Order: sequence, then C-alpha cells, then structure tokens
Amino acid sequence: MESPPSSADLLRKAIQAARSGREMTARDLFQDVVRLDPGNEVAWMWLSGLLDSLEDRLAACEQALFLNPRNAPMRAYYEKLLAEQEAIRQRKRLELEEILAYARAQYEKKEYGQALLVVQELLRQEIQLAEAWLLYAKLVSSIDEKIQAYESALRLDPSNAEARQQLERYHQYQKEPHELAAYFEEEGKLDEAIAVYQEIAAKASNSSEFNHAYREMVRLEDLKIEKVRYVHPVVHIMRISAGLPLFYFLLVLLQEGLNPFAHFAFYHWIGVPFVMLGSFLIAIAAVPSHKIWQRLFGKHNGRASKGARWTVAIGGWVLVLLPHLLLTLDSFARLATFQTPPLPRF
Amino acid sequence: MIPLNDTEPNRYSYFPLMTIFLIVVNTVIEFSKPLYLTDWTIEEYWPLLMRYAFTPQLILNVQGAGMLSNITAMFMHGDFLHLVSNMGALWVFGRRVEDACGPLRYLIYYLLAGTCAHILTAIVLYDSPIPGLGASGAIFGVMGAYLLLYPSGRIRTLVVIWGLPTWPRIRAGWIALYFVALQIIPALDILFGNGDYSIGYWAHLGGFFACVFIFLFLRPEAFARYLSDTSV
Repeated sequence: MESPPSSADLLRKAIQAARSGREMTARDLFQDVVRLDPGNEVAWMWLSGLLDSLEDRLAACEQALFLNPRNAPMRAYYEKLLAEQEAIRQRKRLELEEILAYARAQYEKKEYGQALLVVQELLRQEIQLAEAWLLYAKLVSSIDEKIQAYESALRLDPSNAEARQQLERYHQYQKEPHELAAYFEEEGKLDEAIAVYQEIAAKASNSSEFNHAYREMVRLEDLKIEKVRYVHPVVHIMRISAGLPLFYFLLVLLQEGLNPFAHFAFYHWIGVPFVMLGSFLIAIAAVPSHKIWQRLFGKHNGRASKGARWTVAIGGWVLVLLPHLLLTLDSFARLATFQTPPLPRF
Repeated sequence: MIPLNDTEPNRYSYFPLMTIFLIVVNTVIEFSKPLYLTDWTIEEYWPLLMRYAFTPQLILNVQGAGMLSNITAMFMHGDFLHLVSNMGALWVFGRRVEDACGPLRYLIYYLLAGTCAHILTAIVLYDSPIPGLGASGAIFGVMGAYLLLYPSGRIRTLVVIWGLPTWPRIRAGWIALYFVALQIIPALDILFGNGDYSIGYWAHLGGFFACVFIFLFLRPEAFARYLSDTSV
C-alpha cells in the first residue's frame, strides 16, 4: 500500500509544475501543500502569484508575511498588489460616481422614477457611496426608508453633516408625520406630501385619523389639478416684510407735512428700523418652512412650532407697534397745543 | 348701479372677521355722534373736524393731529347715507379681499389704501382748508384689490333700467371700471378747472391706485395662486 505524499514531495511537484507552465496543476498542488502544512511560507509565496482573484492573492501574501515579516520581496509584491487593488477600486468608484451623476441629473430633471432605478442599481454594487444613499433618501417617500438610507450614508461617511442633520430631522418627523406632509406641501412637493398622508392613513389607529389623512390627500390632489406654482419662501418673506414699513413710512411723511427735509424729526425716523425688523419677524412667522427657523431655534425638523411662531409674531408686532405708538403720542402732543382755525365761509 | 353682494364663496376662511369689525367700528362711531353733538350745526362740528378729519392745509403746515387725523378720518362719516354706501361697498368687496390676505394684513392694507388716498388728496388739494372724512378712499383701495384678485368675480348689483329695478350678476371688472370712470372727470375738473366738489374724487383715485400694494399683503397660498393664473 502506497503512503500519502508528504508536503515536501507535493511542494517539489508543485514547483516543477509551475516552472513547466502548468499553472492550474501547480496551483492545486500548492493548495494541497498549505492544507497539509499551513506554515509553509514558500507555498504561500507561490500561491500569491498563481491564484485567480486579487483578493485571494492578497490573502496569500498576508499569510506569507505573517509567517515571515522580514520577507522584503514579498512585502514589495504585497504593496504592489495593494496599489493595484486601490487603482481598481478608484476606477470602479469613478464609474459609480458617473452613474450617480446621471442619477442626480435625472433627479434635477424631476425624472424621479428613472433616478430611483439607477440609484437602486448603484446600491446593489459592492462599493457603496454615501452620496448614493443620500440621493436614495430624497427619492423614497416613506419616512422609515429615508431614515434607513440616512443611517447607511452615515455608516459610510460618519462626518457627513447633511446625513446627520437629516437623520435627526426625520426622527422628529417620525413622531410628527403631519409636519412632514405640511413641509412638503409648502415646498411645492405635492406628490411627496400625498405619499406621507398615504402612509399616515395606512398606519391610522382610528377612523378619525384615517379620515383626516384621506381629506388631506383629496385636497392635495385638487391642488395638483390646479397646478399652483411653487413660490420660494424667501419671496414671501420679502413681500410680507415690505408692507408694514411702507405704511409707517407714509405715516411719517404725513406727520412731517409731506416734506421731511423741512420738518425732519429724528424720533420719527428712528422707528423705521424697528418697524422693518418687526415686519420681518411677522413675515417669517407666516412662513413656517423657511430654513431660518432651523438656524434660529435649532429645531430638528426645520419647521417652526406653533408656539415659536406665535412668540416671534408677537415680538414682531411689539416692535412694529412701538414706533406707531410714538407717532400717535406725537400727534396727541400736537393736538394739545392746537388752536382750531375759524370756520371759513363756503 | 348699486353693488349688493359678492356671489362667490370664500376659499381660506369662513368668517370675514375684520370686514365686520370695520363695519361695526364705523357704525358705532357714526351712531355715537349724539354724544358730542347737540344742535347738529357745522359750527358745533367744526372743532372736531379740524382735529380728527383730514385737512390738507393743516397737514402740509404740520398742524393738527397729523398722521392721527389720517387714521381717524377713515372712521368718520358725514351722514348716515354716506356711512351706508361706504359700508355696503366694504361688505361687497372686502369679504374676499380679506379672505385672500387674512384679517390683520387686510386691516393694514385697508389703512394703507386710506393713507394713499389722503396723501394724493394732500398733494393735489395742497391749500384746501376743507376737511375730508370717510372710508371711501380705503374702500376704493379694497375695490381695486378685488379687481386685481378676482377680475372675473360676479357681483349681484342693483341696476334701475327705465325705472325698473333689476339685480343682475355683473363682472367685478365692469363695476370697478364704472366707479373709477365716475371719478376721473370731476377729478380732472378739480385739477384744471378749479371745480368745487364736496366729494373726495382724488382720494378715491388715490385709494384705487394703492391697490398695487395688495401683493405685499396676500397670504402665501393666495399669492402663489395669483402667479399661477388660477383663481385666488
């Protein structure tokens, strides 16, 4: 009976096979050697050149270097393989980024369906891009899916401020989905708002909650038919901010006899900045979706609560009314010394 | 031609709070006249008019109540018919303009239109010692705003044809143009021919032209609808 070949015999045969160009045979024999003798550095070195995939060759290199860290040629070869792997990764990443740019372009063109298909394909790849998850979060309407997407983006890029901010925001929205729907509506994204109400209706715990969500869906569908144009909140804020200062300006003109150069009074005009600031506060209270709420109050969902809006509006009105009160007091002071002219003959 | 009622419904609110409030305040002020008038003569009324009605000469000479008289004049009326005609027009045109603005912004717009009316009066009739009073300047502003926002809105209007009363629904545009056209010739006569009128035609025109400022007071949804060429 023939005894099984030793690892040394196998190694010799494997080297012969490799040198004679029979690479497949050599690779199988080297694999048999490392199975029998996992500490065989020579076999691992040969395998690092014979294995098919780059990852397997890198693994063989690592094993050889583990057995003999001073193996300088092996280390040089390992670094070469690592550089090769990085180059492949970079090429692949560039390809994926190009695809992502295409998906973004589709998103900008409001081809949301096409953009979603492309992003879903991207997310199936081995290399994951945080930006792809961010785009995916924008494309899906379900709050849960958005949260998962932002979490994935944060796992890939923990320093991504946008993902962190949005994740906090949607956690807040998870508690208050009506706020999210209202936000979408104010942003002019009626389809997203309807999708949120659909989700609310699907999760409704009682009939009144379901009815409310259903009524909102019907109202938004009507709005879609009406095709109301989206107007940026900044336009509304600028517009609404202008009304009260204009009114105050005209009142001051009247108080100064329509000739402010001849009858200038500093305490009339000092009210202008107060009225402007107050009017601005009143305007932002009227536009709850503006980002200024997030900046001023650090609210996670980026929308003003009713309490905050009322507080800001009341503050604004106080600032607006104070200069008006001053003008009124000035009028009464003038009346106190006013001599009624005689009745003219008509 | 007397406008009776706006036949279209509100969109954003159910109750025209500020329009009703303005009508009530104007009516209360008119009905409180017996508290300070006993013999109902112009001599008795004159000091009050000089203090609280809008007199261009006093305004330009920085005398009297100044800007306060601009506001108070908007809430004073000459007689009951003056009050009824103004408040009727305010009810017809104000309800939906308030709906498009919201009550507080509507109030500011109303006062702004009245102020514009007074300023134009003061510029044109700069040496007039005759006090002007009434809400009509502000109401013309509201009418102008209605014309801009709801040009195709229909107003139930009392029209007497050959002595027979009829009440057709007439487009707001025609009614507004009719009332503005009624002001233009007397206003030009005042400007060039020194015509003597007891009605503030220039105030009406000033108020009407203030309607361009309505866009500063519209609620966001109404403004977006206006830009979208859909019914505000």
